[in-house]
Amino acid sequence: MEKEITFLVIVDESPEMYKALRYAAQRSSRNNGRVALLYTFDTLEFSHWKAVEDIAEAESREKAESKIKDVQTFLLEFNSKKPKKFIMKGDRIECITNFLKENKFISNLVLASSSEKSSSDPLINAFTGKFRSSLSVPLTIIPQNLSEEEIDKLSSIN
Amino acid sequence: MFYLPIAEIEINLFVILFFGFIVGFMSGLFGVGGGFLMTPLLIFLGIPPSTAVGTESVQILGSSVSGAIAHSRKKNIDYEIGIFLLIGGIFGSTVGVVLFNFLKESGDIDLIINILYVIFLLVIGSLMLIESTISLMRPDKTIDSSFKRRKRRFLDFLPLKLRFRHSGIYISILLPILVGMITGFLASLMGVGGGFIMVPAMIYLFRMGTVSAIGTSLFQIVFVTLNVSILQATYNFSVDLILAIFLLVGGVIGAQYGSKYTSKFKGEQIRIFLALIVIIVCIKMGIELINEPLMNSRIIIQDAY
Repeated sequence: MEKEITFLVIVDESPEMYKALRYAAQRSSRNNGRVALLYTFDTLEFSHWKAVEDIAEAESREKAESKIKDVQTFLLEFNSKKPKKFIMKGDRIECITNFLKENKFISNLVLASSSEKSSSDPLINAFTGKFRSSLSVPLTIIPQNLSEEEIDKLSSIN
Repeated sequence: MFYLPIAEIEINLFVILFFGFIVGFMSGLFGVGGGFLMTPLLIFLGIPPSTAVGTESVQILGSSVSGAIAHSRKKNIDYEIGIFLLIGGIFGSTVGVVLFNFLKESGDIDLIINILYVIFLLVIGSLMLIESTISLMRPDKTIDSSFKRRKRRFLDFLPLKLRFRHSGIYISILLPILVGMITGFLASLMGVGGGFIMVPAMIYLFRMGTVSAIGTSLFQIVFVTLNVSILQATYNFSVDLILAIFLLVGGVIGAQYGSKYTSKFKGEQIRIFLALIVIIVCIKMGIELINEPLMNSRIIIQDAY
């Protein structure tokens, strides 16, 4: 089987994430590829009681699953293949680099940059700065201020 | 060697810096305040228990401010719940300081602090050990947060109920006031922040989310320890500022390192390690309590008069 093109989108609560998602969905559906979704959550800083840590993890997983469900509904519109879903626990950047190392089927990482001046875009900063050498796939950055039409137009050029 | 004016002993300030660093490192590692470890260590160094407790509240105040600010930026603090926790906390801690003063006058304070610590450390240490052992035996047990959707309990019948929108809970305001009061009382008598009691109480009794429980507890701790620090310093003269500053400097540096290593360890190893430290400290305190005939000597002196 020929390797299908897979676009990885990091799922979080930011509004600009949907821009990255739109681009990834359009590109993958036009190329008969797939979208992969990765949600990461941090370990709790408070590790005094095991029970508290367990509840925190359960909460995070439930939150992750409901967010991924939202994203899947969003993706239905683009009639692409069913996305691959992943949830990881730990430091975000560490999770992403490990994920890319272990899952060679990823062809492209799609991130969106925030159009707000106050936002620091930690992932983009990390993967274009300090952690750029640990990146093992091409990185696509979608500016948040692109409209949906613009994204659709840009993603149709192969 | 340096003479501490309030503690009234000579001490090497590098030792204090080192202890601050060690406890700071562990609190960074475990994400706990560290008061329940620092106070016994200070007592072992020969600092009078009452001064150790008073000074520790200043250190906790200093070290929890940055955490509270970080949580406030991430909008993890439920200020409505926080206010009721704080009302209880201010009341409980003020009562605690007055009781502290009363015990200091009667000469019992150091003994009471020692006894409270032995009991407290024993309970906490064994609970942690039991918890960790159980989870080591059943490592794959999955837990969900469905206990939050359980049917009504007796706590739901308490009066003065209020809807707290940030946390999405509907509880009696008596609950946070009471929990705040107990932790405030402990904060003033034992020199702890009380997060290790408050956080589980908020999760199990109020059914708050874990992250906002932690953020909100830090909010309460900052203002309660501020209250305790001011009262202990002005009313009981039990705060040694020089000691507090050196502990804080060591503690802040230690916490920076400690938090870096959190992800390197598995939660279980960390917890068993902490539990063992707590129990060792508890045993050492217990031995000193028995060896030091504090109570007997006082009775004899009283009899002589």
